[in-house]
Amino acid sequence: MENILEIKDLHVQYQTSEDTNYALNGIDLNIQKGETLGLVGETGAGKTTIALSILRLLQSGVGQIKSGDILFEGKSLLELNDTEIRKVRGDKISMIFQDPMSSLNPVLTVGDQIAEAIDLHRSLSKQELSDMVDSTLELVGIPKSRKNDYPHQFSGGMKQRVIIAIALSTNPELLIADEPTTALDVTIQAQVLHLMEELKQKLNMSMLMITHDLGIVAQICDHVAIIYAGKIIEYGTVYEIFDKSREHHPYTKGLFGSIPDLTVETRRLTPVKGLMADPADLPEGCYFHPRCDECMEICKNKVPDSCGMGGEHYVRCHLFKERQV
Amino acid sequence: MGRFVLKRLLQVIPVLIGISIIIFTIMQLSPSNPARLILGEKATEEQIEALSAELGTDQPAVKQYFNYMGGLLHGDLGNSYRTRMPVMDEIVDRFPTTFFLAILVMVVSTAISIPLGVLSSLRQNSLFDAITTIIALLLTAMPSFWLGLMLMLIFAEKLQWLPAIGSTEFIHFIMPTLTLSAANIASNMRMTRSSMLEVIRQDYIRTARAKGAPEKVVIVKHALKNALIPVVTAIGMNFGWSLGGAVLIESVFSMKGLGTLLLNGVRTKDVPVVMSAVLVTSLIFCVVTLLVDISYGFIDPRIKAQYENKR
Repeated sequence: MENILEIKDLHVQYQTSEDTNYALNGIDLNIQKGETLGLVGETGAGKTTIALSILRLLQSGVGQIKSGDILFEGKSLLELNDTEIRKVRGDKISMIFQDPMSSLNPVLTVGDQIAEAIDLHRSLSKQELSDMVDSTLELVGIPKSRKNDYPHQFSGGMKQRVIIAIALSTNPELLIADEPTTALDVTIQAQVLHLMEELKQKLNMSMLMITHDLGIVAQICDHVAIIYAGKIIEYGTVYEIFDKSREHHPYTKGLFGSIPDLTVETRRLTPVKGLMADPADLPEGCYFHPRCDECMEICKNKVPDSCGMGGEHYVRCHLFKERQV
Repeated sequence: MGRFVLKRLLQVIPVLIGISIIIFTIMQLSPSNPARLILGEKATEEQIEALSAELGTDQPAVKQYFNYMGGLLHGDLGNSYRTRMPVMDEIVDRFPTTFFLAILVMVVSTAISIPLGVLSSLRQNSLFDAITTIIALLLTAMPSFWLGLMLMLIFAEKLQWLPAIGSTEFIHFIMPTLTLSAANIASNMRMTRSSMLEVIRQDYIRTARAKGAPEKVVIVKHALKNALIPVVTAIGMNFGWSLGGAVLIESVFSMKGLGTLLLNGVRTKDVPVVMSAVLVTSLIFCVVTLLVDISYGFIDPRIKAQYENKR
């Protein structure tokens, strides 16, 4: 399969007046054409930073891409000038943001906000543009009669649909969905996910699904990458990651230990102990070692390499290197 | 919307009544006698009593107040104690000068302050930002009458480019406008800057960028409109201050406006003149505030919806 997006050894830092936050520390990630990659991790692991780096939307002056490369359809996004990257944004790569409540401009009508996304990349007549807004709204299940309404007249689920409509209005090749359902309640979550899955099939997009909800991953992803402190620590197909007979990274095991399994009797869930590593003061060696139950001496001073576990499954942990030898 | 405007216009009535009571009371508190002020030190008691009877100032204060307010209801602003001419004529004659000056100040200060505020917010912490901040501080710190005198010294006295005094031609308005605009420019600019800084970090700005919108569109279409509400409030308030500040500036530049009328009225305890000048200024201020509130509705649909839902 051909890769639509390749991220190579990406390092991103946030520079504040007090300290430097090492948000991404050598991310390698590929997304194949037409597939959905799930990017899973705790809050603060660097998921959104990856998304913003792809579109080069890191807050200027604060977030900096230090090294590495991001290739889209074989061409580096980092080498594009401002005009060129604007042509990619919203046209070839679209993004759905986390918080539907604050991601729409309160003083512009919903129709105008969708029309703007299309108008920036297509030269259409007024009538064609208006027709396209209508059909995009209907695609996400909002009656076209509501296009002259403002965001405050919509519910949270409806707003998220509008945001999805904006992202899909230009038929992007890659859709980045940054926790699209986190701010929504469960019934609306299901609707929105169903909608995204359906549209993905219809429009044949690739998708980067950022989430911390493993249920969503199981439902719609083809591949899964687990991220911890700005490093991918495990990667594989959704079957490999969810396969309990396989060996996993201790962190992945911890993540699965903290979701309820309805088929087994469990008294308590086991959370991953400790807190996410501080990106301003990362531990030596493996970033996960202070929280790891299976920590060894080597983990404290040497960063582990990625090792193949068979198939497409990779784990970045010293445990397996030893066993494989 | 119509209901909202009507309600707000009705609210103006108690405001004006309150102001009239305060101003009238303050005028009564001053111990001088208008008739004495007009006739001078050498006038006899009989002359003063006769004039007081003619002006009505020998009547009890409450009666004087109701006489004036009664006239007001019929559109009669009374006669000036000093000139015996209807105050209405004087105000109609002088009002355009003050109003024109205030409008000029509003236009000039808005046209300068908003672009500067936006630019310094976009280049936060840059040299440009630092310089505009310092200039803003300087402009705020300068007393307006002093600035007026300095401008006069430079442009009228030394360079002789502009006339020092008068209010008959447009050229007379240049220095007063600059003087009154200075502080407005500073405060509006700082207001625009901080409001823009807040808006520019909002998620919907990132959404606009993610659509591929060029920076100019992001700033003007998406950010500025959201940032304008506090700025519009400040512009409206400043308009009120300009009307008030005109008292000082009009006398510095000897302009024939409401400000000098008011000042002369206070000097001679000319109650009808002072009351009328203050009430007219207050009325304008109330109307401007209402216009500002209505303009919110055009800027932000959420506020418009509130206006429309109000019963």
